[in-house]
Amino acid sequence: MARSKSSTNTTTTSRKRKNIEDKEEPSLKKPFTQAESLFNNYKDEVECIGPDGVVNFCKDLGFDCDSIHILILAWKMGASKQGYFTKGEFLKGFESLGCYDLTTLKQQLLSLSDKLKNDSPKFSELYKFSFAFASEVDSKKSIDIQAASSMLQLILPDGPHTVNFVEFLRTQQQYKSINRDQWLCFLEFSKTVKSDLSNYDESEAWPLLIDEFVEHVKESSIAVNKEFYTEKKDDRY
Amino acid sequence: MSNMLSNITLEELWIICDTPFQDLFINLNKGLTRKSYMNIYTNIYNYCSTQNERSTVDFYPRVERLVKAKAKEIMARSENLNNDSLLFFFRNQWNDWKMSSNVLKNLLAPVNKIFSSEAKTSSSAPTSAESKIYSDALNAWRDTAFNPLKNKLSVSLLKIIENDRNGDSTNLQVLSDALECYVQLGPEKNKLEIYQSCFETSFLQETEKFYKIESQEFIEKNGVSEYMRHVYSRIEQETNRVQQYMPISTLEKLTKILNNILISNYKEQFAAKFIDLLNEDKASDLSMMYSLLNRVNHLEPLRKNFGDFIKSEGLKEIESNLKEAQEKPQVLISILLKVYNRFNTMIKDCFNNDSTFTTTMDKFFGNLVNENPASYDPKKKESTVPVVLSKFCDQILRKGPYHISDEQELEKKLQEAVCLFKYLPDKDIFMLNYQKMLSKRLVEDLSASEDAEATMINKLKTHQGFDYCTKLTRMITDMRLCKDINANFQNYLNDSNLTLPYTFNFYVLTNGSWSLTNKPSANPFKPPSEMLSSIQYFETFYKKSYQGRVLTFLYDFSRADVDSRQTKGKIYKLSTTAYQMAILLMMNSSDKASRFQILDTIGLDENTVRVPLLSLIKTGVIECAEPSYKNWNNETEFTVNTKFASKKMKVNCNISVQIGDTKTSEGAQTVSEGEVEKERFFKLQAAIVRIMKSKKTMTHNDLTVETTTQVSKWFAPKITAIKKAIEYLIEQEYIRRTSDDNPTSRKYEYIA
Repeated sequence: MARSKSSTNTTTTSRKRKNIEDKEEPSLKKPFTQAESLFNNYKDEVECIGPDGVVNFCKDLGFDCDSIHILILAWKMGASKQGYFTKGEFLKGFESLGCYDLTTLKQQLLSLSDKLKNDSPKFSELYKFSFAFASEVDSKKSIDIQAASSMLQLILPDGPHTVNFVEFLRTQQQYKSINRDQWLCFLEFSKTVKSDLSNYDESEAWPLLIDEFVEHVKESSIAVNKEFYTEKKDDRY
Repeated sequence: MSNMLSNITLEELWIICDTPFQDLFINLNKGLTRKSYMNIYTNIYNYCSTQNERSTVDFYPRVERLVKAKAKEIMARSENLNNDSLLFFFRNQWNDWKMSSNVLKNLLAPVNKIFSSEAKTSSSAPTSAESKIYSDALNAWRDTAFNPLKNKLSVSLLKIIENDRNGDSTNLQVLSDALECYVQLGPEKNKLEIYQSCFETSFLQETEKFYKIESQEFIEKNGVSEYMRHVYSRIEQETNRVQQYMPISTLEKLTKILNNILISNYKEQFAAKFIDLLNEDKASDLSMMYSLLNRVNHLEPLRKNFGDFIKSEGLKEIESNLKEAQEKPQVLISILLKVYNRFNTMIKDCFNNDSTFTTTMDKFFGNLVNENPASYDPKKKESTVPVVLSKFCDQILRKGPYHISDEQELEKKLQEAVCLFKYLPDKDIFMLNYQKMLSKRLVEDLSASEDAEATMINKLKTHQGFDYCTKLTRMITDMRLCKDINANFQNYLNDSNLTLPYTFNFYVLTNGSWSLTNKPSANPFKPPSEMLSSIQYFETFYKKSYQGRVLTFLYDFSRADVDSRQTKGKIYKLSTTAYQMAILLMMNSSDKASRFQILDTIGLDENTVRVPLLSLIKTGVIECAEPSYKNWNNETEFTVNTKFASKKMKVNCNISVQIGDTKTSEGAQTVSEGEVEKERFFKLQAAIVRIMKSKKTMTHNDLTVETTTQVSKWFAPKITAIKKAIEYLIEQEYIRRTSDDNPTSRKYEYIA
């Protein structure tokens, strides 16, 4: 309880301070030094917060490590690798979000994640970022199926095709990884194609992966229908 | 002369004219002497030139009255005549009448002149003045002679035609003359009016009636074949009659009726008979049926049946010889060619070289070529004919039992091969195989004739375009250049005072044009010392002559001739591969060698050395205690067969041996599916990059279509293959997708 109380306190002060900053030519130095000391709390390697530090940081912030908010934070930081924040990235993130402590940060991230839901171009940027972020390879040209599936569930949890697509990725054998083009096209696909796939046109420029996905869904739904039909038939006799 | 120009009145003139005029019409054959003709003409002339213009008007009615009276007088004689006699009488009188009218017209020429100048000044209806007299005469004839008789006449004329149709002899000239009268009597505006209303209509009706009955009876009695012949001659007869004796405008209407009654009414029956005719191979009947049904535009069922027939006949031929057709390229190819020639000839002989039939044949024959049981691979779902055809070409072009030495005969065969080439769905598979086999022929010196090779390449070039054959052309060029290179190398050696221990011949082949690579081996081949100096000399020479070029030695494809001196003094010439030569040279110093020693000396690995050893053992040049290569190890020893003997002095050691399930054959080896797939992927990429480079941006559909056309010369790409290539190029950052909110207007964009 005490803790939460204190945090509300800081929030109010931060708001005040922000107002002051807005009014009188803010000196950016102060929040920086605060962010810097925050960074020092979590860093476990030289100039870098490693996986353990990130876990602690998230916990203190009050978010799951694999939540959309942390992804947004990573995006704002321009983090290049999952599980790591370098000092430069960390400070850049605080700067661009205009925050200097965990409470303001949490507020910012919550409001940002709300805003993003209605800001398609910004969301596209985040989506684009998530590919490189999730990529384990140095070239950032592909991500393996496992990472792609987790990332999709994280970033497009309510997408009309996400559940089916992740399921498809899990069962198919042909693809070991997903490239950038396929990744970007899936967002487009989720935005434009209805959940029943009725407006899907295979003569359009969709990547083969998506063609195959659609075929897979259609086939399995036929199979389901058939089963349903035969069951019904059986009932009759 | 002037005293002759005395005034003359109409009455006086008429006294002079009356009798001769009457005679002119009634007693035409009495004739008119020159003197009296001149006399009458002069008088008329005088009358016209002296009388005032007004009085000439009185002259015409008199003439008109005279002509009418005469016509009546003549026709009075016909009262007791009927049918033919009436017709003949009418025809004769008509011919006379025309003559008489002409004479009268000429006699009255002076009057006509005045009349015509009058007509001009009074600007009355400008009737052709010259024929005023003549048309008066015709009108009199029409009103007095023709009109009362026309029905009778028409009936008689139709009777004549009916007689002609029934084969009774009849006088068609009467028909012609009478109908000429019908036309002459027609009004100036539409000369054919009387002919059409009084004769043509009932003629056409009669014709229709006649043939309706006749055709029905005939076909029932004699069957379709006879009927077709009959119709053919009927149409000819009718056409000729119209052309010779009737106004030609009738022909079109008549033809329509004949086509309708004689052909269209029976076209289903005709077409049903078509298959029988094909089966019985009745060329003349087929040709007749074609020409008849062509008249009524009813060829579609024929084409369809023709197509099916080609396919079923072809399948019959192949199935009766299935096993051989599956195994031997030349059997399948010659069956296909036989079918091709048979139906090509049929189109020429029976179907008038009709291009629509050729199209049908192309479709169905193409289908036969690629989907018969000997050529269709149900597993791969594709035709094997591209491969079979390239094997066929290889067989006839390479030295060996199938080569045709007669130039013209060979040329003919090649031409036929190109004929079938047209029907290949995937011309790239043919080309890849052809290329592979050609490189083998050239490198192993198995090509029977350089000219024939060039001929074939040129044929393919004319058919499929220059770029289709680029690699082949380059290969041939390489071979030509090799002669120069070897000669230059010899000069170089002479100039540098170098000598080679043996004769060497090098082929320098451009990388990329030839599909030749050494099989991968753990250790490289170590050429024996005997070879080494030559190779080094050549390398030095070549690098000096062509700077910056890299030489790779293809030992897998190198050949050698080795002399083997036997203890008995016999010398065998062994033709070997480079590896076999290296093994044999080793055995010069010791009679036996373990596999370890061999590998140590000549390089290679246990897999690559297996085939040379096995074939040397098979020829009997060397021996091994262990017959199965599977049990060989590094200690296995190979010894020289001291008892080696052969009937031939020249022994080929590079013979095929069995390794596992596959036989390493020296014959044609085909290109694998994977290689084809790879080649296609490159082709698609190249096409897409080319297109995008010139168009910069393009929609998915346009790019797909354009790419398909670009590669269609080689193969028909699947959409998925094109997509795969596009996606690969996106990944490689040759192109990208434009970001457009409207998904239908999204495009690809070339990244420069």
